[in-house]
Amino acid sequence: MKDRSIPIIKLHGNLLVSIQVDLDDQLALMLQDDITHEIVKTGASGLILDVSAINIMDSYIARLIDNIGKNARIMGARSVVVGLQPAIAITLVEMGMEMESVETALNLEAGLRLLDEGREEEEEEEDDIEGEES
Amino acid sequence: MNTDKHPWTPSEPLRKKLNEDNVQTEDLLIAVLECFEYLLGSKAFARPIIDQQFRKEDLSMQHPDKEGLVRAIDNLIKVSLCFKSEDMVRQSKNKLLRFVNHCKTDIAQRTVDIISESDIVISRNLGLEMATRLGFSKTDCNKIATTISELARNIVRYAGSGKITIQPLIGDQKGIEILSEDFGSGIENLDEIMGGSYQSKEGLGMGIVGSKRLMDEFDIETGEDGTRIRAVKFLR
Repeated sequence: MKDRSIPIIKLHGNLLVSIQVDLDDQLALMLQDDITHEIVKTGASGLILDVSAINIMDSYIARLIDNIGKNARIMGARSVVVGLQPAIAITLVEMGMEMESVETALNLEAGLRLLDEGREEEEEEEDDIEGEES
Repeated sequence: MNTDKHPWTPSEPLRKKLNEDNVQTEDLLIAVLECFEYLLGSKAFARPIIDQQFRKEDLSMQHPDKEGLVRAIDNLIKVSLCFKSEDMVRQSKNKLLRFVNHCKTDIAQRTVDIISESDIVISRNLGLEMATRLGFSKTDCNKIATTISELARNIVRYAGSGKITIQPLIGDQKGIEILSEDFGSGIENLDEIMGGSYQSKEGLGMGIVGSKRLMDEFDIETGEDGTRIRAVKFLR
């Protein structure tokens, strides 16, 4: 069988996943598994899902992406979905579909920035706490 | 009669039908058969050649498609030129194309059997393509394809198998109609689902209520012998 798995790239402290194929259910479930394992293996603290090539997102796929975010959060990583097409965004909102476990950003660059900012804030907070202790 | 000189003329019963305002696609296909049986000399010789061209364009009585039909006619004309004079073939072609133009059903219905998960992708892509050709906006195309995806997914998940039919509406109000049929055991708690108080772990509730919000008309008939859902989106 052809290897259909979607590549997961590690970049600094983040995992980068760009979905460039039509997601069928099997592939989507496989991706969910792979990402969760990869977060544990690499200790990444951020996850970026690039969905700019997805042209249809029904409630099942939206829920699955939300679940990926949930899993990532439990493993201590923040998830950002980037590149959502406007038509999909409108459709999801109209359906009443919410993705609560992932954040969104316009594009990859904005997504990376979002994760970096989050990390700096965390570090500052840690510094503050250390400062108070000493 | 010297068949080398006279161009094709439709047979009497066909001519009557073809003179009506809106030519039916079945009659159009019969006209194509008649014309090329005449041009190629005999039925026995013409049929396999016509069948081959129709198969190539994925045409049948159930799924006639105008653009494909015109391409098939063009190819058959090229074949005919080997047998008959150019003038006569050209005249026959013009007659045939006049009927094609009188046929107002541009894109006819398509049916996809929904058996496995991969059929979900096939059916929604077909819907996306048809909606785009009918002139829906990008957002509406997405809503239509998403609805097909939800309906197809429900068939695979809950009924096992069924079919989805997509067809253009060509009446006063133009649009697209999606028909989802399965022979599963029906939806037991339909009222709960439609009222929004029920949600399965897999998200059936969300899918079906959500699709209803995306479409202009949405009717469900469900019983022990299966479920039929009809969804319509009008072209604005």
